[in-house]
Amino acid sequence: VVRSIRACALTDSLLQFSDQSGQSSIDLSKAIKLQDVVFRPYPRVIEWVVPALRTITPKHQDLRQISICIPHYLACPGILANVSRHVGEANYGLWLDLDRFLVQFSESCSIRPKVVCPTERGVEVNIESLFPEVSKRGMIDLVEEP
Amino acid sequence: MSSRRLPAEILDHIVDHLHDTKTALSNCSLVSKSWIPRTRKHLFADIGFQVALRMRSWKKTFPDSATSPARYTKTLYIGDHVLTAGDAEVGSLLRDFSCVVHLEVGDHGSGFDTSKVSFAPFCGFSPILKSFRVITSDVPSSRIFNLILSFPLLEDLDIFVSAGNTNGSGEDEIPTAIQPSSSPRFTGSFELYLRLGMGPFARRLISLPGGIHFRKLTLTWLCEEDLLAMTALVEACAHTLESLDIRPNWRGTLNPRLCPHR
Repeated sequence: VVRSIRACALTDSLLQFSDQSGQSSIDLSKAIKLQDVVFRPYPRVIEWVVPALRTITPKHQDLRQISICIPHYLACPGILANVSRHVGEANYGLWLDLDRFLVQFSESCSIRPKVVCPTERGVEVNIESLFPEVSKRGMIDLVEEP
Repeated sequence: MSSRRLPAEILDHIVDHLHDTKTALSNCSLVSKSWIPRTRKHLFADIGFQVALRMRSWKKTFPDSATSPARYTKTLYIGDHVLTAGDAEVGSLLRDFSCVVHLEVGDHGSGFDTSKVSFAPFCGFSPILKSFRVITSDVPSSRIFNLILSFPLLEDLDIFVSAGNTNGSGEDEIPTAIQPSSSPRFTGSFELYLRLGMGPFARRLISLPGGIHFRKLTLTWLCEEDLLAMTALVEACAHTLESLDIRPNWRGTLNPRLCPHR
């Protein structure tokens, strides 16, 4: 069976990757036709988002929309008072890293990230806790989850 | 006296207007034999068999393949109890559904023996199938993969395996017995959640002779290895991929040892 060279290269690449450890995110650098990317982080699984965003380059000329979906878990009123306690200090730091990166990202790519919120009450407070900088600067579009 | 008939196109137009009103369509089908084909087109467009009893009832009602309304079915849903009914019986049913475009196969973990689930009768049953969705608790993805290859026009895939054999037998690592000389088009959307990890499945998909050309990927990952597999899938579709939706498993932590095949 003759396979295409590209397919072989990719398979070999994947096979090699499977023996490595330490991959902590997804590489989007080659998918330059992307128009729409949705990230759905979970409260304690967020470390992969910023590295993934970093792989988006000026070559992604078709990119129109980046969406970050806020986990429902964080929209509970009981958690609003102290998000960092509920997600853990280290994880909360990662949310703030994402906030800072989104500032740079929107300034450099002229794309306004969309933050998709669960429809529970009090979500706005949550957003300000998770994304203080972009909220303050009005650099994101807040939309309710459909 | 010659009978007066509505021109066929007018009749079609009227019946098409009633496409979502089952009772009206049923009444239309009783008006005249000439009304039957168009009403059947809508009445039998979506058919589901959740239990084997319903499947047997269908075969009893429509025993003749030549006149069976199964040829009007575009969307077919097969439930868990039908999947274990036996290859001969299921195969006999599926032979009539050769014009299905969308197939959904699902078991919902209702406590039956998933080792008896067989996809053999489904292989290539509808050569024009474009969309395949499987929701299962515990069927090896290798079986699903072999089924996928039997549909040459397949564009959209949605695979959700919520459990999986975690005894480490490595069944999913068994390669496909026969390498296909051609493969489906895979030009639509691809949604993937595999509790045992997406690596082996992604490897097979990427190495198909025709490659993959999905425009939309929705990927749920559980471990570091899945991140590698996701990157490979994204790269494999790099020239066509327009939309990407990625999420960790809701219980997930970034755990390199979570996937049992590592």
